[in-house]
Amino acid sequence: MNEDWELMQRVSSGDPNAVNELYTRFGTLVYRMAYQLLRTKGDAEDAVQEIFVRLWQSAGRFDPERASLVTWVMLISRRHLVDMLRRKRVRPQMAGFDEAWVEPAGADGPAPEDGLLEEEWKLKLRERVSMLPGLQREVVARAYLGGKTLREISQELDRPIGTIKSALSRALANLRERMPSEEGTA
Amino acid sequence: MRDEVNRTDILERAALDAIGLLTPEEVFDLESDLKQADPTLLDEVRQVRQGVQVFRETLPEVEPDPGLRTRVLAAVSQMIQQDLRESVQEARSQRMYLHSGNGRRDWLEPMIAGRVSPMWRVSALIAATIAIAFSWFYYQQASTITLLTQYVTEQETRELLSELERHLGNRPQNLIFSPRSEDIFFKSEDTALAGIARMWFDPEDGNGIIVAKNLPAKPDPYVLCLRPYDPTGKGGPTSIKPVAAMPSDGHTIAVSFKLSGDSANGASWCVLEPIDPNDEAVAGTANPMTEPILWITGNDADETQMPYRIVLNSVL
Repeated sequence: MNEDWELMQRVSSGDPNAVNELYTRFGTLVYRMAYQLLRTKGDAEDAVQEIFVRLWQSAGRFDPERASLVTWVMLISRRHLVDMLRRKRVRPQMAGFDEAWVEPAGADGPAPEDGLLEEEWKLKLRERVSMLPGLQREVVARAYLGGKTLREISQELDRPIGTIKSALSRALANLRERMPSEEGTA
Repeated sequence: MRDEVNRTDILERAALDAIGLLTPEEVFDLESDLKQADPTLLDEVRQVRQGVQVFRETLPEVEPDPGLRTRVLAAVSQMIQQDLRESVQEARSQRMYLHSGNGRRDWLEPMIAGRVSPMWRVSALIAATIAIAFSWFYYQQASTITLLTQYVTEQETRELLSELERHLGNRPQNLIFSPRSEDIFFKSEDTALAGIARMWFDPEDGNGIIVAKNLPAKPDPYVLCLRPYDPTGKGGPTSIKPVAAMPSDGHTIAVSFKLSGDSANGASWCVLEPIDPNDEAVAGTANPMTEPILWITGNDADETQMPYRIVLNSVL
C-alpha cells in the first residue's frame, strides 16, 4: 500500500521512471477498458494517452484509504472514458441484459479479427453479471456497458431513480464479494 | 437516522462513480464528502469501488501496440514540461507583483505585459498626462493663492485671482507654464518708501499682476508706469508708460497690467505724465516725469539684462 502511494507521489512530481512503471502495471488494463468502450484501436490508444495524463494530474490525490491503486486507476479511467463518450455524444448501445449484445457505437467498429475476442469478453461479462439478481443485473449492464444515465435507466425499467441507485450499489457490493482479491495489475 | 441516510447516499454515489455515471461536479462533491467521512464509511466506499474490479475479467483480451508506451510517456512528458513552464511563468508574475508592492493594480499587470490593446494604452497614458497636468495646475494655483495672501486680504486675493485669469487666461497652459512670479525690490526717491512686492508676469504676452503692501496711503491712486531700462537714472520723459492706476488703502495695492509695444527694446512705449486719469491735459511729454516710488526691476542686481522697468508712480 505504501509502495503504491510512493509510486503515485513520484508520478505526481513528474518522475518519468515512475510514469513508466505506472504504465507497466496498468497500461494493458487501461487499454482494454478503453477498447471495450470505444471499440477501435485508434480511439483506444488516444484514450490511453489522455488517461495517463489524467492519472499524472490526479496522482497527488491518490488515497490508499479510499481505494486500492488498481481500483483507483480503473475509477479514473472509467470516468475519463465516459466523459469521452459524452463529449462525442456516443454511447455503447445495449438492450436488456438478456437480449443480444448490440454492435458497438464506435464509428468504424472493431477490426474483424477482434470479433472472437469480443464474443469472449461478452460471455465473461454475461457470466459475471448473471450472478446478480434481476434488477441489479439490468442496472449494471445498462450502466456499465450501456453508458446510460440513471434517469434513462429509470425510465427504461420504469423504476424510481432511488431504486436504481440502490440496486447499483448493492450490485457492486455483491460483485465485490465474488472477487477473490482486490489487488493486482492488469 | 440522518447520518444513516447520508451514509447510504454516499455509498450510492460511490457506486455511481465507480460505473462512471457521476458528472465531474458530482465527483468533486463526493470527494469532498469523503474527506469528512469516518473510517468505517471509507472502508465501505472502498468495498463498493472494489466491485468494479469484477469487470476486469470481462475486459477483451487485447494487447496494446508496443509503441503505445512511447507515445504515452511522450504525452505525459509534454504535459509535465508545459506545466513546468506555466509554473515558472506564474512564479515570475507573482514575484513581479511582490516587487511592485501593494500599489500595483490588477489592470497594470496586463498593460505592462502587453495584453492590453494599443488604444487602451494610449488612452491610459493621455489620462495620466491630463491628471498630472491638472495636479500641477492646482499646485500652482494653490501656490499663487498662498503667495497672494502674504500680501493682500482674502477678498483681494479672490479679486486678484479673477484679474489673473482675466489677463492671463484661464487655460491651464497659461496659468501653468506662462506666469513667472518673483519678488521684486522697489524704492522711492521722494519718500523713504522701499520694500518688496510680488509680481506675476508673463513675458510672452506682457500680461502681469503686481502686489505690494505697506505703501503709504495717498488720496490719489498710485500709477504703475513702465519705462525702458535706463542705467543712468530716471530715463527720458518719453520713456514712461503708465499701465494702470492702483488705489491704495494704505496697506496693499494690487493691479493687473498688460504691457504693449516691443518689450524687446522698450522704445515704443509711450509716455503719459503726470498721471491723472481725469485730466488728459496733464498727460504729455511736457510734464515732468513723476518721480517713481516703485521701480520694478526684479531682484537681479544686473539690471542691464532687464529690457524694461516697471515703475510705480504716485499721482501728484
